[in-house]
Amino acid sequence: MKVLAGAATAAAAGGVVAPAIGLGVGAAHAPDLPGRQGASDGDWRAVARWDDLVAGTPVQAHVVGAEIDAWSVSPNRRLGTVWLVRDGEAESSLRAMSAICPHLGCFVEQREGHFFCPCHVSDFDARGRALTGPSPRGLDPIEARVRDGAVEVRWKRYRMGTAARIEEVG
Amino acid sequence: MLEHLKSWIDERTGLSLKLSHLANVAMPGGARWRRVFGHSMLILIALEVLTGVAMMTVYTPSTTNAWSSTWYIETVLPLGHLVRGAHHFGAHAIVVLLGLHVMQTVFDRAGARPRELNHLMGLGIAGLVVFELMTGFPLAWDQRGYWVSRIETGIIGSAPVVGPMLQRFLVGGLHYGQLTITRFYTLHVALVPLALAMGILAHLAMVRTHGLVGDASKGDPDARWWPSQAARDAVAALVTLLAVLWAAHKWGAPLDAPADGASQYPAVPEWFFMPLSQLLKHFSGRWQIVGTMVIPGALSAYVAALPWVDRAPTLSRRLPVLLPLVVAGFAAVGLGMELAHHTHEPAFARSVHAAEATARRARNLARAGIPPEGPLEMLHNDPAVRPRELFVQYCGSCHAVRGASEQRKGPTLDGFGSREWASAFVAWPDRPIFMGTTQIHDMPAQHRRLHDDGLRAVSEWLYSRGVEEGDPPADAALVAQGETIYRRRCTTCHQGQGDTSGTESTERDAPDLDVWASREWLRAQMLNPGAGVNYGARNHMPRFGDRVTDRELNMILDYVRSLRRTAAPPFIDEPADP
Repeated sequence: MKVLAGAATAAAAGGVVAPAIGLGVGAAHAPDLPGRQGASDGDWRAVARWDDLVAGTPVQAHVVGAEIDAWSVSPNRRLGTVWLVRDGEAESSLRAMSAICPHLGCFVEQREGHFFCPCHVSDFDARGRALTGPSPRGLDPIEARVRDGAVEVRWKRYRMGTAARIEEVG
Repeated sequence: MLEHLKSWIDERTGLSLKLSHLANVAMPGGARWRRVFGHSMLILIALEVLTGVAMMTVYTPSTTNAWSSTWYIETVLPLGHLVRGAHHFGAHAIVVLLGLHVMQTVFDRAGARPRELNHLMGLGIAGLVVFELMTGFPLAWDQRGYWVSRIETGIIGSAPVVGPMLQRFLVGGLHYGQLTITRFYTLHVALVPLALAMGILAHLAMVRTHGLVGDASKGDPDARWWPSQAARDAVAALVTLLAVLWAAHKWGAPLDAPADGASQYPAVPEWFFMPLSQLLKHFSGRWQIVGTMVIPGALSAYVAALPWVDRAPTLSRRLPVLLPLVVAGFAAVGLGMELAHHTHEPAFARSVHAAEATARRARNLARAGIPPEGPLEMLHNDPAVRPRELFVQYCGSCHAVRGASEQRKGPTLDGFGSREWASAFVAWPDRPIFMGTTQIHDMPAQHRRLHDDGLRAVSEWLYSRGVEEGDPPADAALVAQGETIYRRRCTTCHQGQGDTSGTESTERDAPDLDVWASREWLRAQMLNPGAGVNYGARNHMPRFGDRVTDRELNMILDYVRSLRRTAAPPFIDEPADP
């Protein structure tokens, strides 16, 4: 009888709590919208003109696309920002790096050819390698190419605060 | 009558007896000012609940409405500034009182056996209070709240094993967005307050069970809460409350620009997190966890363990045990000062200044009403700023405009459309600030051919081509004179409306100047600069027709049109020959 009372009470408590927690956890995993194919990241997106880049001078460019936020889809939103670097005349010298600090996600600024995060003073060299400060890794490289004079990138986001570069999808 | 009512209620509730029990709680060691903090906190918590509920009748937790409704409370609603300010400063005052309360209980060893559990519960409540502030801070969805919160959840996410899961749960996914507001709101107004209420009630019930701690050998052995401690409590609470209301009235709660995840923002945490934030900077790479988890964790564990370790009989013998707290206190002050120093560095101060300017602009724009797409869209389309931003984005990499761009792959647009620009261009078209850096060098310099009078007349005529409502009118006589010169001497190359040369439009490559620098002319130039009526086959300017929206194009035209009025051209400084 005591066992039954205990078990029934515990089960009832579980029945009260579980649905609520389930909903909270489910939404936290950002399920895809049923009528929408493909994630918003991962496509090639034009962000700048190749001719506008000057060798050795990093240029900031916004990646614009459809932003999916829970149930809403907003076209033409800034998904993020990349730093574009042109090292020479060849189009293959193009490099792109995410402007999201790999430490805790602040906006990485450029200062005299090197990169710098103002929040916790992480310093990166011109190629994005971590020099000093708390950042556990260098700036995250973003795939970039030149097509018909347009600089295109494939936007990606990585988990912050880890030494390993773990892509975050969703 | 009143006595009658009182006894009627008493008979049915036993209330006066319960109240007299409370009033007669023993105060061993007598009434003390240092015992007032808990009571003041309760009063401020009541203030937080009431101001919070009042704001809940207006505040709307969504990415498009959170900032807007907060701005509405702050700016439009009567007493909104005071209510929001009281909620803000009340919360910060609670943190201060909490610190004092912890210091008092540690000093008086209020957690000594058998009260260890209540000591731990008190620390749990302190943690919840800090969490309550952390969940409240981003609700306005302004830049500071947003960025500070993103950093905080980032730190939570860096905790081993449970970190990423906990972060996802708090953020409602991977990225800050709608669900983040909803979750923080739910935590801030429901879950955490509920937990706090239960925790505080249990904390007080345990105080009732064990009684207060004090040296019974000192002071009045029969001291009770009522009236001497009650008077101190009431005075302290009143002083605290007045200070909070005064600060609310004088400064109000800050409201930064609307949150923008794709912007640069110099994030500085709340003051009580400043030492921890600065601590992070001293641990690089994989040692981060020492600053984020190990040191704060060890310090918390140490305070939690005090009832078991702080047991020496005299204060002087307790000092070695309490020393780590003193060291931590000094370290916190030192780190806080280091951070304050860092925020005064010129580069950082400039970012702060820029962020404040954006915030002021957003608050001003909101006065005319915020569009349904939200305050960020409002800010991004600010007619005072957006046209220039678009110009810099699309045109600035070739066309110089002082303060906006220094590039010289095409003519400078400083003063474009003005008499001065026209005159300088006609006189020396191949200067580096005009066509000098382009592929087009056919136009001969006119400064000898036309002389000063001719130049003045032609530039007046050119100016008159683009005069719109609001522009200073052109001199009609001079215009007529200029037009005569133009028709006689320029139309061999510059063919346009009304010309009879019979040249096919595809073979032309000097622009038609009949509507030069007007809105239509600029629009045509933007859409198809290589057309025959513009610069023809040798043109290098890209077509912008498919790169900008109509709305953006109009804003760029607004900006270029504004240059004829505002930007005084620096042509005099230019060397005459490249």
